[in-house]
Amino acid sequence: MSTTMDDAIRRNFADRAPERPNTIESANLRMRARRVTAAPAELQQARRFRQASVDARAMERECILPAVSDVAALRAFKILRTRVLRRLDMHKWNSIAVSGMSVGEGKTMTAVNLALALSQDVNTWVFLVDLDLQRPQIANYLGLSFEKGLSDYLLGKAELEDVVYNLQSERLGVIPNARAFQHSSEFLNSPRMGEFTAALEREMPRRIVIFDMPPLLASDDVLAFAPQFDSLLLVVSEGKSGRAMLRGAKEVLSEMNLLGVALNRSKERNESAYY
Amino acid sequence: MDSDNNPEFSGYIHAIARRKALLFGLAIPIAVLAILLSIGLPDVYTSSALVEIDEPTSSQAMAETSSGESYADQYVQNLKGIVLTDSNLRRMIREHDLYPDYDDETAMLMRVKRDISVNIVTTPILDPRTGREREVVDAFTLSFDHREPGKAQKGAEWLVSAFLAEHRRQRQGRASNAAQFYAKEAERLRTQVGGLEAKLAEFKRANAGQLPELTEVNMSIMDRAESQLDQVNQQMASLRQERVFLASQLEQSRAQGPDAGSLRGLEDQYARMRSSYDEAHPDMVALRRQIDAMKYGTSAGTGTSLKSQLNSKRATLAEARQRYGAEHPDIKRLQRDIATLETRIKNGERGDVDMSDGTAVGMQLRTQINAIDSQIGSLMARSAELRAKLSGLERNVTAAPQVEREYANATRDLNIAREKYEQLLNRQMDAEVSEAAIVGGRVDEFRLVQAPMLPGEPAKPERLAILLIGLVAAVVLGLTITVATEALDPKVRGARDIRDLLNVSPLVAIPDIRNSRSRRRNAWRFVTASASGVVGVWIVFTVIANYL
Repeated sequence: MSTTMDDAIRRNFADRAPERPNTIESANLRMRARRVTAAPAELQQARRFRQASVDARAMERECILPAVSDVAALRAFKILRTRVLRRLDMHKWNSIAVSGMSVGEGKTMTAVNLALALSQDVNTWVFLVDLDLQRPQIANYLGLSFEKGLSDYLLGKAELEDVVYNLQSERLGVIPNARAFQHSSEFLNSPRMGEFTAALEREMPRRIVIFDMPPLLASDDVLAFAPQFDSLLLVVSEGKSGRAMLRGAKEVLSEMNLLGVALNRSKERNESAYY
Repeated sequence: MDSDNNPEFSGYIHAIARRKALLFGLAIPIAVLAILLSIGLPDVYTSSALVEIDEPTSSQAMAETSSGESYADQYVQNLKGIVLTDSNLRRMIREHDLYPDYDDETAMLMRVKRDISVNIVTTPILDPRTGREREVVDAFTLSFDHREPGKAQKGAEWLVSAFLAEHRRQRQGRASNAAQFYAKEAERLRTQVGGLEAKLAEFKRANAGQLPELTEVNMSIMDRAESQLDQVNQQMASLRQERVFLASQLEQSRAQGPDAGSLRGLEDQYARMRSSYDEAHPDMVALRRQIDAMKYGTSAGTGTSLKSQLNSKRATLAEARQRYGAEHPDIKRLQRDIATLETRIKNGERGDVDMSDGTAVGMQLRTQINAIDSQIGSLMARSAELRAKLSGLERNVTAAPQVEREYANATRDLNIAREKYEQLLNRQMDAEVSEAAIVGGRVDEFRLVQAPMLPGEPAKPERLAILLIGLVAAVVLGLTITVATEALDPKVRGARDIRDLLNVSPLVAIPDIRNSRSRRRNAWRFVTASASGVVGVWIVFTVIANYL
């Protein structure tokens, strides 16, 4: 099973087409930004975490990339991956918090798929952290079966290597969570959490850390955790996120680095067979 | 591209693209319905009649009232309300067996009411007073729709005859009502007039002789009475003179002493007359009685004593009563004389004949004086009578102006009532005449100009129009509702919204990812939507097809 999935991912992401910068970006990018690939020495130090199995049916249900056959969706995630990489490089950012306006906009789906897409790039190493402490979802999305998760680490019952799981590729490490916390923002500001993020940053080679966060306006989790991440990827769902909410979120967003907006459930579908 | 240069237009295009499902979900059923209706609706035939309202006088009256809408309009509506009652319509349906495939009577009645139409036809005229154009109702059409041309005609014919009959009945009823009303009013006034007349008669009786119309008569009577009074006074004066003269003669004859020679003279005369008359001759008898009376000095048997006067008067009265009425002046006079004589006898007077003066001349004089006296007495009575009459007449003449006022009131009331009464009688007669004319059918205001024909071509449905309207409506409605829904949607739609709200373009637009679940869901949605669309279209089609 895992081999077929791997094949699917390879088929989708093996060829990275060079991208034409769009107008807005080209205005910011006067100079050519060259990606710095990880040095071979770092690669030698790369830690291997324990392997975990995933459930294809769960992934199919939740539209997680290896199980997605929708051409337009695959193309969209490729575009998203590339643009995110360019922006991170440009600003020398390493961590991304994925959040949205409200529940059900596809935050976790976007975070997981972005992590998967990034990990398909041979030069990119990724951590995916389930930080929606009140409603942890990543494990469900992947159909991931695991022993210890983030909650165990935060409660001091486990160390980092106990809670990181590799999915097929060693370049993607998933930190799932099983237990929901009532007082999530307190945990997010706890010293143990500080230790956790520091430990993630210490890992070699340097990895892009993706935090799956609760909605921006539903709680203070994102605001509380803001000092710990470099940039915010805002997920907006067409026909689901209210205009007024988006307008209300604008002020909150101005306090953070906005990596960009991903428009989900877009009706503007490009299905041309050319690509 | 054009759509990029025109943001609003491209917005619409995107909105429509996003809401294809809604657009097609609206437009396709409407279009299908239009096609179904344009093909599947049954033919309906219309037969109609034109009835002219032929009433020049009343239409003129209407033009004069200029109260906007004319009464003819209202009248036709009123007529419609009376003719198209449920029971009438039931009879119509039964007579012509209009809807053999209907079981429910209520549905049948609703059906027939839909099929009948009454329309007012107006003509624009130039109002001479205001100078503006006005609509004048001068006809109306009666039409009946049916799926069979023959029945359409039958129904229209029934309608025409029902309307005309009802109209005639109405007018007749109105005329006869008017006649009855006038008759009743006339009767009422007649009694009123009778009462006033009785009152006037009573008034006349109460003020007899004082009525203004008698004033002149009264005056002339007064004049006459006055002249009569004058005459009487003159007569009295002359009689008094004569009496004075006679009284003086009597004094003379008394002064000559008792006339001794008179007995002798009488005896001589008697002897002389015996030679020529029989002793039984009345003159002889009278003369002998006179001589006897003188010889024996008795007054018995003479007519001069009061008693004998009384007797003779009574005899005269008895005789006069046989000839005259009790009121005759002679009789009255005699009665008065008798009354005077009786009082005199009662007072102890024996007679004014003094036997000492018992000479023939004296007696004669006395008799004459007595006669004059009695004449004077009667004249005095007459004069008193005339005076009384005069004063009465004067009273009447004085009272006349006051009486005149009341009298004028009474007569005026009476005259007015009489005039009204006559008017009412005239009107009653007019109403009766017009009723008779209506019954005779000589004055119909409604004229059937165009009788209902057997329709050759179906009047409905306008298949092409239904199709075109339906298709246009499908497009317009679909687009309008789609765009409206888009405009009213408070949710984020498309990259444009994000640009507008956050001033950043989205990194990527991830489409609604299709997996087995979403495909199933979409398929299910499509099936339910199509099924409900088909059912909805079918229901609407059936309803409309039954309605038409």
